[in-house]
Amino acid sequence: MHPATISSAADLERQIDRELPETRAATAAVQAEVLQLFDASAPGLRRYVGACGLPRDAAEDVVQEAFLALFHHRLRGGSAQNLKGWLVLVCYRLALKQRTRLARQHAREVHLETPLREAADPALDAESAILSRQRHQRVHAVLRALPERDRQCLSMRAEGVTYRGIAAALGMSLGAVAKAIARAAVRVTNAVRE
Amino acid sequence: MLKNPHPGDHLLLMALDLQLSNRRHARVAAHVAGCTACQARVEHLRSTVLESDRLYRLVDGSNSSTPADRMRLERALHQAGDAWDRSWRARVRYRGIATTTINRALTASAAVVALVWLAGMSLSLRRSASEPGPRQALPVAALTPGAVSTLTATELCAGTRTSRTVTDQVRRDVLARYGMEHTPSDRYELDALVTLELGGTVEPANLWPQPYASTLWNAHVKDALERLLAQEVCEGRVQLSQAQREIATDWVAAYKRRFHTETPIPDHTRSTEIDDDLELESPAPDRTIAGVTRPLLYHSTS
Repeated sequence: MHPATISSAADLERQIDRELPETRAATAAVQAEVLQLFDASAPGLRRYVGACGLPRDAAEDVVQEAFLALFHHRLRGGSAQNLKGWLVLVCYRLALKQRTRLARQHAREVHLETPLREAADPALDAESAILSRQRHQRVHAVLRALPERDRQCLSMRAEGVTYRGIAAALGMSLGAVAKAIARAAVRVTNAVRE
Repeated sequence: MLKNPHPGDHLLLMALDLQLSNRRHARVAAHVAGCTACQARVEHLRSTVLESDRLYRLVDGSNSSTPADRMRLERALHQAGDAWDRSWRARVRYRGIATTTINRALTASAAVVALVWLAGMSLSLRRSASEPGPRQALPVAALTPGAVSTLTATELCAGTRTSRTVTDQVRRDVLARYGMEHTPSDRYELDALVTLELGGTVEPANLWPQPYASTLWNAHVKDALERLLAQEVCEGRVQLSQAQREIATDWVAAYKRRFHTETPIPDHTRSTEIDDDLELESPAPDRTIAGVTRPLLYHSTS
């Protein structure tokens, strides 16, 4: 090998050794940031993905994949603004893919068959728990009955995505997003009050 | 039909969620401030959306992360972090190698360019020494040192000249020495370095193919200098030997000095009616040159 090549390669390795600790520290910092966000946002994202019609296991896969995507997004220097909204949009796309995959597997629309899970507050007494469960069932039913777009708009907004982000993700105008949210909110609240 | 002056629910909702531009937000807020009906709508909308948010969040209580979920992500992040660090090393190495390769390629290219340039320069120098092209303003000293007759200034000013006729053999010899055998004859003038009006001869040592228009310092410019020097010799302002020396050594420098200019005077760059060209003759017996010739040893053009 040419002497200059050896010298250059050695220089390169020395440069790598010099910069490696810094790179590792940066990677560790991003890992910590992602885990912190996971603790704060994962429940909401699971709820959102569940509302997209995916079962718990599939929803967890989507959420995990979204946080991995966030890790790479941040490592590549992606923006740190409204990361929760960013995660929701990634979850939305991943959920669509997952739903299509599952639908192919089962040859049917999963979200039509998979009931949204209910949870009663463990602190309530038995009677209140029943009432609570009934109320939840009604909300589930209304949410399931909403048009897909209205439900997406409502849940994305509830998870912190901006109207502009929703509009971009769903290919709608800002006005249409606002109308869909208002429409869905009225239907959900009316159904529960009845 | 009159346009509804009240903002729609969607606008009120966007205003509540601060999703409008500042200008639109201010317009909607100004309307709501003065409209009781819209204030009631805003309140209703606000409570509805807040309630729907709360209901939405109540949908599934089993969404909290389990330790297994967190551990799964930790493991995945650990693996992804290692992969990222490895890929970082690979990227740095690749960039380093690519940079080294590019640098080497650039160095090699520069060396090739330099070699080509040097070769070109060398060729050019060799050509100028042995086979000069037609673009030169000055003759090559080794090929055309200049030659003058023994005629005096008085004889020259009285109109005596050496022969103006250049034989075909001499012409071909001169062109061959300058490597211009195949150059069209309309591109140069076979010129006597020391003009015949100043005692020059038509020997090969005093002849060279001077370009007409391919250089700033062309044959017409030299003709102007020759006319001036001949006039000054005849008027006694310049010694004949000095005039011969000036024009044989570096006629361009002589022109600049005599005409007090760094560039040729525009009128001098064009052809004039005065015909002082040498006469070219096709194969013919050598004519006797009047006077005895002697070489100009002081020619120093290089």
